[in-house]
Amino acid sequence: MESYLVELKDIEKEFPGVKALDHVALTLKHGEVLGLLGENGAGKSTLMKILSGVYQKDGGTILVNNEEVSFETPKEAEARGISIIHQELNLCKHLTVAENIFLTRETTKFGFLDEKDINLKTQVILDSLNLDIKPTDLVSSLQVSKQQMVEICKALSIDAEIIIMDEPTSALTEKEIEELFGIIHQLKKRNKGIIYISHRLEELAHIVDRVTILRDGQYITTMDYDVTLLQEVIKHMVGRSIKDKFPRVESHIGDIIFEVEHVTTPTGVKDVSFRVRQGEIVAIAGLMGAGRTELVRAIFGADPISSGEVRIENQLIKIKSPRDAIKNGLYCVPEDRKKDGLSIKMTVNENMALPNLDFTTGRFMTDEKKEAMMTKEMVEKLNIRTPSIHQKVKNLSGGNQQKIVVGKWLVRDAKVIIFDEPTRGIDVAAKIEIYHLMNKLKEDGIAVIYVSSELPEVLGLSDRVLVMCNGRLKADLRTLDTNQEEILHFATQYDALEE
Amino acid sequence: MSELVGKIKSKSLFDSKAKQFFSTISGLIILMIIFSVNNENFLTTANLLNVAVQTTPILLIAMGQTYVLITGGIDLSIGSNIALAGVTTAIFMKAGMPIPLAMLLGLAVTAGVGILNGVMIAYGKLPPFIVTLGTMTTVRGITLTMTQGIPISGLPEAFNNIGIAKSFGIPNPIFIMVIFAIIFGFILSKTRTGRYTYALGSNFEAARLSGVNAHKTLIKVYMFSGILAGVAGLVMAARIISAPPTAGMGYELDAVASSVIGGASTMGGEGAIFGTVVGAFIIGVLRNGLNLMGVSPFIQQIVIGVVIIAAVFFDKLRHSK
Amino acid sequence: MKKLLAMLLLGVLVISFAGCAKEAPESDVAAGGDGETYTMTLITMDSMDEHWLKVKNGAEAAAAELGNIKVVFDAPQTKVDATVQAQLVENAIVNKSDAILLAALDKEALKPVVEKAKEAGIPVILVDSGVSTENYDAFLSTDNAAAAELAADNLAELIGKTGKIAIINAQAGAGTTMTRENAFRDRIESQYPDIEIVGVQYSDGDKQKALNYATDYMTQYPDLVGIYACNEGSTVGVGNAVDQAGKSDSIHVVGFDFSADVKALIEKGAIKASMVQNPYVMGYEGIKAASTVVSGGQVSVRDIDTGVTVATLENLADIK
Repeated sequence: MESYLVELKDIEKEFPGVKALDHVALTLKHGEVLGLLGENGAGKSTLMKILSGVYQKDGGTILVNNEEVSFETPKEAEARGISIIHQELNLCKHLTVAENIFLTRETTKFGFLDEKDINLKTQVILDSLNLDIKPTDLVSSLQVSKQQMVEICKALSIDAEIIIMDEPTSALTEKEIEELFGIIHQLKKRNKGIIYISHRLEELAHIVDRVTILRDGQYITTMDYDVTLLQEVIKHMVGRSIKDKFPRVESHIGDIIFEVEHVTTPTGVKDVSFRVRQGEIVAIAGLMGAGRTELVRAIFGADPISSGEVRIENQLIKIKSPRDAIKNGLYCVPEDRKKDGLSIKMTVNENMALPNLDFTTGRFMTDEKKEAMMTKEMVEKLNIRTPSIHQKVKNLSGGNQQKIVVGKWLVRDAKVIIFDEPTRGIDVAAKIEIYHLMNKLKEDGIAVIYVSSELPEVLGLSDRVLVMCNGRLKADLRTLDTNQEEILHFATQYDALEE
Repeated sequence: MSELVGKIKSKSLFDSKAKQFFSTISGLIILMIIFSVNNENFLTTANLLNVAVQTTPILLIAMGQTYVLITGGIDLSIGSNIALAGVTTAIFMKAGMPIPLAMLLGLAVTAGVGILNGVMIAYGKLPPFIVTLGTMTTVRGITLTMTQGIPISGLPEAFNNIGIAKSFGIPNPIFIMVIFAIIFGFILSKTRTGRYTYALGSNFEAARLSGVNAHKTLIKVYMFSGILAGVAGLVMAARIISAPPTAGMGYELDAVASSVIGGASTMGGEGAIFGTVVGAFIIGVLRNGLNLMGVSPFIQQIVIGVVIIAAVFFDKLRHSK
Repeated sequence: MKKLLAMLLLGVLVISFAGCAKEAPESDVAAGGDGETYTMTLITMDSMDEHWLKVKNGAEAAAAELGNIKVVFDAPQTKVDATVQAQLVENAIVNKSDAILLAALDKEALKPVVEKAKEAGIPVILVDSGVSTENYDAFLSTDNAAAAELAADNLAELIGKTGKIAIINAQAGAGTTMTRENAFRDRIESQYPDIEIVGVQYSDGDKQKALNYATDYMTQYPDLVGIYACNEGSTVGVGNAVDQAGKSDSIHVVGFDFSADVKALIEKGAIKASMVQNPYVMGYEGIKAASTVVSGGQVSVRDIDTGVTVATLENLADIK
């Protein structure tokens, strides 16, 4: 019999009204990276929360090193060498790297904190991974990727045997991802077992040995993985095969409708100009920190503009706040939907109605019937899966949440719609629905501006690609005439003077 | 299709709102039953009118506090605003100004304090706790300076009637309370301003990016709180026929207690005028009932403290289910 | 940079305020003429109650008369904060005040600082409320126990020595008002067996609260014949409650202290009598006593009763 580091058998978990996990199994070997795949709502996170002691299972067994265990708290799981790195990092930003790593395990001397000791211990761990971080650095001063490394060091500091990573690359640039993969290879060599959750199927090929696929709370299959199996994996995940992942549509490209002239912002955008035509999808590509989000936030009025002009249909418009943009038919689906796009404590209907009360409200009173009718229509049109329009948004999956953010704008007449990383952290099926939606808008003659870090997506979907680097626009390329290499070339074209 | 929508709506409305309604009001009813059984004087028209009059100022300020709490803020300047409205109006009345005009000026001043709070919070991006703590102290100081520390007495008879006289057998403050509760309940549940108030408290940034005029709404909300504190101040001054600069000290916390017992969350996004009405009456009935039962004033404080915590605890329990 | 600017602004503000504050008294002192000038610090329980303003007026009148005394007035911003009051005494010690006049909020809490002042060689004159130490130079106060007994006699007389009465006190735990409550209670229980005290409530001196408590008492005891209130705020609240209930004839209110509001309610008949202290005398005689001590003399009587006047409709015109 093969010896596993972790073995989960017949795990069951029920939430009120939902069977979240139904006889799910999983195995993890020493020195292995196991990809855990599935659409949002498939049960990956729930399963990992059970393994790390956050939730308690309703049935089944957990074996760690062939010994049956049961965790009541994360602390107990930690004692068994299980460490989880959440998608939203769990670090105290105002403390140093060492203070974070040894939080609640501080060493003391005569009752006083011994900073020297923890700094020393931290240095040893950092050195073992060849990391360019100082124990005394404040976490808030580190980039997201480095913060992630700190989390990994934290796991190592408790001698974790099993490290669970939930979407570790969602906020990283290509270069940072490579760095992370380097670290993961080192961890493998040290015989650690790693469970890796990600939606980025292409990237998985570089790193995982096997994948386990879940769907709707059920175990589907476990298989050895390499990139040639991509289509098969997708088929397992969504339960059907997807022939054309990026369904480009050709449509009539009309007149110039949106012009941005020499926009500079306090947030680091420098002298950016571009134009978008009706029925055109223009992608903005670039690395993290290139100023893409800053640019679209500024033209939507979310952040101030220090100089420059914005024109819609040849009309100069003064955008001082999102209200001004909205009045002119310019809408934005923000990058971070939970932080900027939705009130997750409010219902589907309340979110959908929020920007559209001017349509539904009578002379004085809000009209809840009208709002519900409008929402219902949009829920059907966008195929938003929710038990009721009065469901709180926080109970919906990421893809459905995203469709609500989009849907609230589609109620209104749109001229220009900006999508900022619209497919981040949502499952494959929802991604495809978002692609179709953008294509539909294009066919309706709306100008679509689309920020994305996923180059295959950009190349598959857009008509033109604008490439940004360090706050400047570096290239304006016809999508059909370009490729990943060219885009990356421009995306890394730092100005010598400025660096 | 509209039929379907109607069905969905009414069903879920019953689920969430009706449950909240019953759980909030059941506490008050139980309390009233206990007191009626224990004391024959409790359930008399005279006493119930009394409770209503005694609750009026607390309810008025609690409604303002509810708006502020829903946005995720807090207004500590309410108590000082109570005194400011009374004193300002009293000074103008004694200077010979027509009573309604003097009252409007009193309210304008407290509305101004509210607007100032709102501007500092919205545009200055300062924490509401700090801003209103500052205005609480400043306004109290201004009120004391205006009066040199001495209550302004000898107010005109017509003004006193607002607090004392009865219309159709019901004391005037009750009418004032009912009118304002209807107005502010309506604004919160049935207008865009109300909806935006909830949206800001649920997620400020998302509301702003949805085109909500966040600054204007915040300022409005603090202005409402200022106005309601002013109205409470006028009713209180009219009841004791005197405008003391020390009126309303500590009342802002009674307002928080009423709102919170009524289901408002100090984290923002939750709360309703109906809940606050019940919350204020729970405190009012509790005080009156315990007085009538002759419970020691020291024990009363313990009881009220426990009720505040218990109310929030049960609310939390209900939410987590 | 911004912080620096803010600090600078604050500095300018403080200096300009300090400038305004200083100017006036200094010219006063100059007018005082020859010899040594003494700075005396008057610390009361709060800076809002009219009672303390009268103490202050008395003190300032005495200072003006004597010519060589400057009175610094200080008090906690709101009531019931003995810690703050103790800090104010310490400030006065640090500032080398020549004498301290203190109305102590808490007789135990203020004891250490009073003794500290004495050790530093600063004379301490207690006014209104005492401190549990023998280490002071003079104590001017209303004999609150005697005044409360007088109130009890007055109320008993008004109600024909029989019936139910209630008490509205101010702060639970404050020495002065507790004495007023307890002495009143003892007098009633020992001298008037037919009078029943149905309860006591504490209004914190808040007129609204006193009004509410009194109303609740009237509801609970329809046969109530009298209410005794222990300070100005309580008296006004109770007076209004009785007036608004239209029970001025059947319920007799005897209170404490005097103000324009109390006066108006006596005129209306809602308050039958109020025990009026002489805070002005406390301040005036307090400064006189302090002046004697600082110039090396000794006061003839250490504990001085400044007395009370019973204000009624009859003598209302004579009360200051």
